[in-house]
Amino acid sequence: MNGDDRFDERITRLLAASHASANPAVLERARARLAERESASGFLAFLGRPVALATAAGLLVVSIAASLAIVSSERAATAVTTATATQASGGSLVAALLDDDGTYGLPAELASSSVNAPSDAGSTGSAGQSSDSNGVTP
Amino acid sequence: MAALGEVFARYGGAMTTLAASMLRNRTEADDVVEDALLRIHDAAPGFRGERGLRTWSLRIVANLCRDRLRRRKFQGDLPDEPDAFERAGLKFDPIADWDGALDQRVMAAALERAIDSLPPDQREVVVLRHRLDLSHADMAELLNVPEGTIKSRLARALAVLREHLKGMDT
Repeated sequence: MNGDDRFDERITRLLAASHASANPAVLERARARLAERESASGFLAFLGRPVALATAAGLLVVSIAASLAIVSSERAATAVTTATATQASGGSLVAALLDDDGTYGLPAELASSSVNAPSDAGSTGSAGQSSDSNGVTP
Repeated sequence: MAALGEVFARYGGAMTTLAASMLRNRTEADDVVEDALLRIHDAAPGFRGERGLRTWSLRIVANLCRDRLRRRKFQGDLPDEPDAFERAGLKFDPIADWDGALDQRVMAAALERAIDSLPPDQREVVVLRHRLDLSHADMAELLNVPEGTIKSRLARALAVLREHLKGMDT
């Protein structure tokens, strides 16, 4: 055995004498990760099954029905409110008109002047004109 | 999961030794072994035993180590620490019939530093051959390269190690 071979043998013996021992915590961590992954994949597996599809479809139908019910009840409530308001305002207008004494809710003098003034002026004018014309006319 | 415990009990030491020797960092080595266990668990149903379970497990570890070393190129290397053994998380078992003229611990520490300087492909073959005692054929299968390549890588690596330790020879 020459010097190089002897040296190589020492190197290989030294290399073989060094090692690392396994850390048990590594196995625990790996197991924990596997368990975590399996619980997550259990849910994913459920999502892939027909029962999950049926559940999803059922939930969709229920939510559509609920939203339609909400929309229709809102519409009905709005319609009733509008009808009542219209009826109330129409009724009160009719009652007011029936009860009116010709003043249309205004003070009596104002109502009579505003109602009579244009006709009086017209009649006066026309009376004057007519009297003038009557006077001029032979 | 019980099978995983069995794999770890049998080959956990070899897997950790390979990862620690390749990465020179015990924390990273443990992370790699953990990832390897998950891959073994996932791939176990497809394992047909054409290659031994030990070689297969070590192959997974070697691939993960290569990925880490590739990433490390971009992230910067590890900080220098005086004790190569401590950083790598390796233990040295004193050799009984050793030549008393040479301090085996000093020489072993120098050898670890020399291994640090090897490129990953040479470090890999040195560790697999001399630390984990794999045959050339198993190494060729594990690394997916011809046996001739394994032998030439080994020869180059030993030449580098010899060069590093030249002054210590008597």
